[in-house]
Amino acid sequence: MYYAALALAIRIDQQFEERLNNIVASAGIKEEHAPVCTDTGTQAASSTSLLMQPHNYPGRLIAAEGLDGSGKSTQLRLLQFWLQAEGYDVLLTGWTPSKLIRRALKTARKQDQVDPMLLSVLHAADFAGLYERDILPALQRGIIVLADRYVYTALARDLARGVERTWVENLYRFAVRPDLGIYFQISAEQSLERILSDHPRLKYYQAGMDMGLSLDPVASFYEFQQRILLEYERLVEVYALLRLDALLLIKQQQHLLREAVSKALPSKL
Amino acid sequence: MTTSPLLHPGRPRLIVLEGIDLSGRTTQVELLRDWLEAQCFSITTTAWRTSPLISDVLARARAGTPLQPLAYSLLYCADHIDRTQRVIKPALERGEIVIADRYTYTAFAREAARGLDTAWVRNLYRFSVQPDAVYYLHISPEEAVERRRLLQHQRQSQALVSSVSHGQKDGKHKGEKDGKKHKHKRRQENTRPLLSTVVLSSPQLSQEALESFRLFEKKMYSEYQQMQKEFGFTVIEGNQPIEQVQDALRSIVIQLLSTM
Repeated sequence: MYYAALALAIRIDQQFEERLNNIVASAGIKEEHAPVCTDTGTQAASSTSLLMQPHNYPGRLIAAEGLDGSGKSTQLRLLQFWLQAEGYDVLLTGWTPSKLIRRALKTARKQDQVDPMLLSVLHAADFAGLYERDILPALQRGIIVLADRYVYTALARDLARGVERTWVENLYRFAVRPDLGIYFQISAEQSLERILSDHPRLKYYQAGMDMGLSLDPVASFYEFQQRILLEYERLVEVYALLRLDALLLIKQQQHLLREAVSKALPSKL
Repeated sequence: MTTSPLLHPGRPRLIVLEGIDLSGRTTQVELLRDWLEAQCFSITTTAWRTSPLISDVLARARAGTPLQPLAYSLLYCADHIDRTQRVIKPALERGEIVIADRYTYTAFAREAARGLDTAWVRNLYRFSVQPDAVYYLHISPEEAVERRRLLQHQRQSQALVSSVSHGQKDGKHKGEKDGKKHKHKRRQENTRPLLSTVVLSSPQLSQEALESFRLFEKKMYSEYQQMQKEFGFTVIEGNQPIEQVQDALRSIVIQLLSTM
């Protein structure tokens, strides 16, 4: 059993390596320090999508994506300790709605039907706040930002809710492209299993209850995750995210991650 | 004025009033609504920033923790989408006339004035209901500054009076339309009337505020001027007595309502 897993890990390791090299090449990640960029972020919404081109900030952005329970947070925390031990300044950001937005979401829930576009814009406002307040300044100061979920989460969820693709892709084009985007791959079944064993009560929006898929939160969650999974599959290709088998041992995943991350890091002074 | 026999009360319409700050939009919307209701039209009015979802978020942002430009513009968009779903579309479906005090053009002008990308902002509002008419109340930025200066004077003297009488009805000048919602907030303000008096009566501060107001209104004005042709605004001169502006508005609205 262990050997099988190891063999699989090695095989994935090779594919991973290949893809990583491709991504590093296509993203134009340079070995030397990028020049310091002085823009303020208000012009971030340029006419072309920033999500599609590499940024010029001295910091690095590493984004982790995947379904609930895919183990992203565990891996990022391990990554954070390692990077800090290596002497880097690290900022770990999450995806919990702020107090203000939580209140708006709660109010929205009381209406018969929550407009998916309204949900989308509220989440975008929340993310824009996080981005302008924390992420962008950190990148400007040369900090390594570990994003536990990034715009791809919003895109996958909004698209799963049926929001129009070009509209929502345009909505998020103010955000810079990560130096490394990792997709922690698990199935909807595995997600459900892990989530239920952790915290058995699913939240309203987490379970996609606003979509009226099912009155049963568990069934609704499962259906919603499956839709999100489909969108992730597309996003992984379009935005060249790196696939990581989230069923590997924690240590194995971390090993692969560190290898990928070290290639995206700026050289130390 | 009598009801024109040519009016078609059955047809829903979306009428928009736009204009820079202090152009008199809100007053004109109220007068127009009362007049049309007197003619037996069913009217729904909707104003910018009034969705219950975000009004307290925006109020907090104005009071203390400031929001960044992108977050701000997205909250305005959330307000618009929410009102579109809950107010504008249902009213139109009931066959009513909806009068909007500011519409998407406010966002276009505002975000452009704040330096955000125009195409990005316009995409946000791509799914809005197309208005039947946009009336642009034209006043110059200089006129807006003059009106603001007058208002500040009034508020200062009011604040002085209220500080003498221990801040009774501190929020009175803020208008009665949002009176109920801010009841508890007003009470809070009343506990420290002296502070607001100090801030308001500092000539240097109000001069600075006036200057930044002037610069912003100037930018907004030039955006509105540019949009005039693009979106076919009907221009109404706002720099005349309220009644005259209202008369001009009514005659144009009659024209609109008598066409099928």
